[in-house]
Amino acid sequence: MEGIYNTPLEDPEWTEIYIEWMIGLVLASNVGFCWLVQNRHHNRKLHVAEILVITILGFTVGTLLFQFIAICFGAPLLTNVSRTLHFGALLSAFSFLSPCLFMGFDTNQWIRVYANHSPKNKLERFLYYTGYGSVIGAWLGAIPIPLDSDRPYQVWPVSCVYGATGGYILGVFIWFISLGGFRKDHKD
Amino acid sequence: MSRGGYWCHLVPLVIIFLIHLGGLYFYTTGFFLTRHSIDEISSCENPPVAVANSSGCWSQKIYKKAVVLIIDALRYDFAIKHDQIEAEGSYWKNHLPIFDSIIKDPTKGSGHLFKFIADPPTTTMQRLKGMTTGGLPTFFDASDNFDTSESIKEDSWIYQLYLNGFRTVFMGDDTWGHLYPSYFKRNYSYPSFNVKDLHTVDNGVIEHLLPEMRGGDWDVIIGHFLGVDHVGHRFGPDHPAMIEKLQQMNHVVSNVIDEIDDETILFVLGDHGMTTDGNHGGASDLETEAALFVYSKKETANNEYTYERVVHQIDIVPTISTLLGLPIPYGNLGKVIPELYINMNLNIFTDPINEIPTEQKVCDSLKYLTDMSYLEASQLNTYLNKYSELSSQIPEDEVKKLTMVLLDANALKEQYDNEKLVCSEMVIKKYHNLYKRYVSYHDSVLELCTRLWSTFDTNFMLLGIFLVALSVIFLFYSLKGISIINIFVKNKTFWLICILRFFSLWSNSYIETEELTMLYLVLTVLCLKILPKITNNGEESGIMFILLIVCIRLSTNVTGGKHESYNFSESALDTFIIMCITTILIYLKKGHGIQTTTWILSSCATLLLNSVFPNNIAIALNVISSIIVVIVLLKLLTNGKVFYNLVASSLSLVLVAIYWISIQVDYIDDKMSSNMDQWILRILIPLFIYSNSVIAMLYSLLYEHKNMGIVISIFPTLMILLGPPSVYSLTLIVVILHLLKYIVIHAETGTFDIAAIMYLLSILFFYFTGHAPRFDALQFSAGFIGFDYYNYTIGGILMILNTFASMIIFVILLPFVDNRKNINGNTGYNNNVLLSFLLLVCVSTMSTMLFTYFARRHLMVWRIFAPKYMFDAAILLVVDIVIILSYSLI
Repeated sequence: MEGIYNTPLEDPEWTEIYIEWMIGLVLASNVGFCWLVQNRHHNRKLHVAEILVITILGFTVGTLLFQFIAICFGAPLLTNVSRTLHFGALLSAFSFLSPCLFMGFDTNQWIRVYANHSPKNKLERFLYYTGYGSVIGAWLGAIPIPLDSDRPYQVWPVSCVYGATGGYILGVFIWFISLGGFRKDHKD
Repeated sequence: MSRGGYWCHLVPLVIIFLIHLGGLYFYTTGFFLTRHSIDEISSCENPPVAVANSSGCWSQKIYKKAVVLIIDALRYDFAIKHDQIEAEGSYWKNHLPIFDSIIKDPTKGSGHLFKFIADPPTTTMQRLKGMTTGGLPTFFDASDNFDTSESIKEDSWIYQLYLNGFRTVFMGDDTWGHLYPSYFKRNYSYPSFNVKDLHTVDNGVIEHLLPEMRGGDWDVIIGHFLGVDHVGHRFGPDHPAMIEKLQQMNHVVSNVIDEIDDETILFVLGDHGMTTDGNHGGASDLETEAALFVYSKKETANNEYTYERVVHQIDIVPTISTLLGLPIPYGNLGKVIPELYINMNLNIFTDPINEIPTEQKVCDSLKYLTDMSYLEASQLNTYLNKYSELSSQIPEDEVKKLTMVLLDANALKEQYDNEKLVCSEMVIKKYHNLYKRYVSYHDSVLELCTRLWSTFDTNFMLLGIFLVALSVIFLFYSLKGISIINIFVKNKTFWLICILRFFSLWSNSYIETEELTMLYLVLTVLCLKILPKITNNGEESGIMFILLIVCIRLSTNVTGGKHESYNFSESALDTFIIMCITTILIYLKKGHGIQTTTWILSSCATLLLNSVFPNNIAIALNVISSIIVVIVLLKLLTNGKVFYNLVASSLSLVLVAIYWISIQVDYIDDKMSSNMDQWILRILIPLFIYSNSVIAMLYSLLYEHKNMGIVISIFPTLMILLGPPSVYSLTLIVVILHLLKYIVIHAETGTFDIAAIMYLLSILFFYFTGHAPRFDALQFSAGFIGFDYYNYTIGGILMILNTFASMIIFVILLPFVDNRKNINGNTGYNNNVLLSFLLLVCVSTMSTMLFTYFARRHLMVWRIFAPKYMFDAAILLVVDIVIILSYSLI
């Protein structure tokens, strides 16, 4: 039954390179940004070592978390582990790592932003839009997988990866638009 | 509940049920068009055209006697010789060497092996009808496979044998006796539907076959072996039992070949093939490619040419008729198999013909072949004209055009016949072309018939869709206490699921992967509606939620076992997984350290013991430990309520364990226990379990927690019907419902979302209990549990319980999961959860109907859309009935 997830990739290397570059890009920009700005949550600039520890920890936990979620949604457990792992890593970089860096591991704050849909400032809104954007994008990306038109993008996880990337970009875009409208409400 | 309230809930449901019945009736009649059967019989005195003959009725009697052996499910690649011996398929490759040895050795007589293409549906009865009447099947016949009470009224070669005074002896599958009552001089038939029984029919045939042949008081012997088919159904082709069976068949066929004389022709044929898991009914190549082996001691065409030759199954009808000098059955659409008429090395399918031996013999036989084609084409034309007279289905101008083609060929034939030329290459070419003209006439008639008999009545189909859509709107208005606008605004997730479900039936790809689509959708609902709330709720809810989604994910394909060939010793891991989940549940529920430790230890012990002990004991251990887990889980689910039902069901479950162990151990030891033991184990135990369920159900109606009581009571029955894999699937249902109820209460999930989750889960578990919307996936053996024979009503009920078990459980337990009203002290039956569940079922059935309507010319319509429609219609009616019953009883 999991057969549809096991179609061989047309160009496995390219997909993996794409994902790895994308992860690298997002990771670097996150870490760099976190290092540059004063972190609101911690009320001070984080030390480089702290940033690295949080990055490694958050990225790993996020990767495993999203891999678990992907498996729950139907991705194969024992075959194509590398593909699912790449997908998990990408989503982790998109939507798990940045909140780890900017909000810390404070559960209440996470619940407020994500579960109760109430981000308070620009940064949180950025995390909110990009996080939901990439996850919803990845969710939508699964829709063409079962269709039998045999296109290379239908192979797991290519369409989901594209969906997540698209969703992330869209999230950034929406955040940009929202900047104007919300500027007066919460001046931080 | 007041009496008035009761009726005001029940009446709309009954109305909806009636609307559904009407809608499905109209759609079905429009979709599955029927072919009119013509009751005319060809008579010996009035051939359509006169052909020179001295001995037979319409044509020469080439053979005086015939032996027809049908080996059910004899797939083409079972019969041919495979050169490379690979591990794959070693259970069925090269175990019938007799065919190849006859073909390779011309001194033994002449044999031909054909690829024998069956028209779908590939079910035995449809195939027998096709191979005796020569007609094309209609799709709807498939459902009649179990109703063999009606005899065939159309003309067939069996009836012609009877009319023309042939002494026909039959032995084997009793389907023949039902189809052709009283046409046989002697009839040794054996009941056919018990697929667990591999040997009774075959041994019966073998017992009578050779003595009858030696006895001499016969003209035609028909033998129908069922063993190969039953091995396929029970174990699949890749099983040692298949080797044994094929070797037995090989032995029988070689004995028969040794016995027959020069005046006799032997046909050995399969009525259909089987898929890689041993089923049949569909239209895939493995199912339609059967084998046909023809043998006689007379000289016929060169053997090598017929290798890989494709022959249509209905072609056997005119072939048998003309070889035995019988009239061709009136409604025959097949054409004669040329190889059996030409007694020279001549490949008539090569064009141009090279190096033709210009002997008189060749010309004569070719002339004879055209005579037979002429005869058969003329009969076909008679039938075509008669049909267009009776029904407007075939347009008259098409018939006229085709008749002109035939008359042209006839004129040419008359001209050649009158020339009376000496045999030369020229003459051979002329006759060859003439033969090809008849073939092309024949093919165009067949093409026309196939095309016309698969047209649809679109008005009826649209009316059916309209009626079901009407019921959807009616259901909207029946939802109590919520205005229409509110439904849309407040339950966005529910509508999202409705829409996604609607479009998920649009493509055959989504239907094929429906299991994964459902998994995806159910997790979507859970993540959208329950996850945000559960995050506010503390640790225990979180663990419960993770357990729930893990359990749901487990339900897709952790056990690979096919229903009938479930491997007990390999399922130790399943037991282990369930035990672990049970452990966590007990821990969360009670928090007792000792009990949890005991469970962990015992689950590890089960896994360990299974690997240590020999097969029999491992199986017994596994079954027993699984049953204990089931009982513990049921106790956990009932939470101390419905105590009597739980005790009764536990007793039944222990008996289920004994039943399974007895069946498995029997096969492994390959020794049958005594009749009395058999009777107690096979008949008495299931009957006791059924009656225990019924009594417990009636009992539970008298007390509180009726839904729970009913499900607990029916549980052992469903388990024995679903077979050993249900240890895993049904217990997962129990675990999931337990977790879901907990989470639903804590996350305050809305009624509509609960209905959506339950609906998606019920479809998911339809697959997980081993079913799929395909006819070959029906678990026919469930109809025999507790009965040695097939009873149409009881078997049907058992089949429905087996196939729709998950829907039945989920519908009955809907009010149990969504029982907030009971918390508020209001004992009123929650209406909306059932109605919104029904709404989802209606939407999905309507969607299937709509997309099947659009896809009616689709390549996959008979393979995917039509069976899917049949199953969805059945699900709709079953859910309707269960909801009405639970309303009126509870």
